[in-house]
Amino acid sequence: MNAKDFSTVSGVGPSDASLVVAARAGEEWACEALFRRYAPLVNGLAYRTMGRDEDVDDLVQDAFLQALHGLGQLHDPQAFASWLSAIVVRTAAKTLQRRRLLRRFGLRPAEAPPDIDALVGSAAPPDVAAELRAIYSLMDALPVEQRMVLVLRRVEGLELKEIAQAMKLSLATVKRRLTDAENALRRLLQEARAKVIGVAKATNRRGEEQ
Amino acid sequence: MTGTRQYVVARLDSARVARQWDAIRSARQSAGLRSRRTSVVVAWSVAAALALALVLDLGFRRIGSGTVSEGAWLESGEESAAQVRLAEGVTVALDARTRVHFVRIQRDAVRVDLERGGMKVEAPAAKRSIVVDAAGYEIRAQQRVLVQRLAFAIEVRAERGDAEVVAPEGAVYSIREGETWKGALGEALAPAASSSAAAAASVATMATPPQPARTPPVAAAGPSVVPGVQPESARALFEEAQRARTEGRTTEAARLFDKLRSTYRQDPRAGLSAFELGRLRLEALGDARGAEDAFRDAVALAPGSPFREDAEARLVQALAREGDHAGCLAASQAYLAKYPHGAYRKAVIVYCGSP
Repeated sequence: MNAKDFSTVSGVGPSDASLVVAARAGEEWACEALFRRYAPLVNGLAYRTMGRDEDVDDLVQDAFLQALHGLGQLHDPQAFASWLSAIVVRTAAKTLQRRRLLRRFGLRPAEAPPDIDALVGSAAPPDVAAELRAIYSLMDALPVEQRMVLVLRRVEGLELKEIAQAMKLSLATVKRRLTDAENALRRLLQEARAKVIGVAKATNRRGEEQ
Repeated sequence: MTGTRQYVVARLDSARVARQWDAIRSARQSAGLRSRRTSVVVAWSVAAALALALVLDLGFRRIGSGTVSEGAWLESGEESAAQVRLAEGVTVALDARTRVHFVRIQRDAVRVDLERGGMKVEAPAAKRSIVVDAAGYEIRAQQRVLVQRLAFAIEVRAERGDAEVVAPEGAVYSIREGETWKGALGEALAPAASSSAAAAASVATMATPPQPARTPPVAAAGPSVVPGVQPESARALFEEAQRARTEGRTTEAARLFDKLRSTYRQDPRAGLSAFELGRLRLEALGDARGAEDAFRDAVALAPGSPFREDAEARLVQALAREGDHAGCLAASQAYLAKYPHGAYRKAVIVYCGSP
């Protein structure tokens, strides 16, 4: 993942490495400091991968619990951010897979579709908004593996190698899943664009008539 | 490839971050009892063995077949958690350094006095009444509740089913399932402080019983604010100091706590600030003399506070670090006389060494 995306924004305060070392030694303040430093990143990533605000808290909690529990496995303490992000991604995928399985056996009710208007910020340019709407309206229909790859690529903007690393997959697998997801997405985008063009034409016609 | 993530932004404010951290911290403390990566069977066996060994070791009432009876005391170890099963399937899990008294164990009601530390009580059915008494608060729950006595606060999390907290002054707080509630174990409000100031600090302040003359109950304090008291400023200072401490800016945190305790001496947070200042000076800044001064001030500012015992024990420690052997012994004897069964009775003896 891009190092710049996860570096300490202010540059003030202890480095990630020193916080990780302190947290490993059982310092509660260091654990909290790590959480507070990366809460925006993890919340954002959780929101974009899950697509629903109500799922965010649980995912953030699960991911941080895993991270704080497994700090001893982090070889490079300064790489905490990317390591944590990978945990969020994998935890999200597992959560979605588990839910899908439960639904298949009738043990979990179907979820309401994501609130796409709330998801996509009003500042998004029309083409971006259309793409995001297409992605998020398609997400629940896609297999979890494809869904995750699609979001990480199209929304998070990660490179294929970074996705492979975060999801612990081979590059070929990531490419294959992305191709499948993008084919599905393309169909949806074409439909969405057709609608936009139709609306634009109708608006133009009304303007000319007036 | 450039993503579009800047257009999909999670709603995040400080309250949500705080709530998330509370949940994580609670879960971590619970996870200390049973590792998430360990199978349930192994965890239960280990916890039961620990509890049994601990109880035998400390001379408390023996736990028979993993159960305890009414009137029993149970204490977990310094590093190890413990878990016991009461009659009717009620489970009580203790964090490390926790001591509880099982006041009542009946078919339909369980009452536990949490003397120190943290615990989780879980009942298999919602029909049972679980009551936990801690620092004057009464916590009522039905299914699963987590109660923590922290240094300056009591924290209650209703993990399953709703819960209710009755504060010492009689106020009742409802906690819905999944929510965490926190009340300060602060010093009693001085008459000058207002209940609205306490509300502004988002904590329920505990009235302390032994000092009625100096520490009237919150309800009696009334809504008026005496001129000259600036609770909002003190609050901001306290929050900034806590933030600095959390972020590891120890010197800055100490400066802010010091400023608060000297500027807003009538504020409910002054005693807490003095105590925090003492701890920082003693542990992080290596200033034993300054710590001594702060701990003495903490006791003076909040004589009836629940952390008074901690402050007095810390005072012994500070005097020992200073090398003031006579002072250390005197403070140690004063502590032991006042708290013959205190949590630090062994520690204060060790601090001063041989006479």
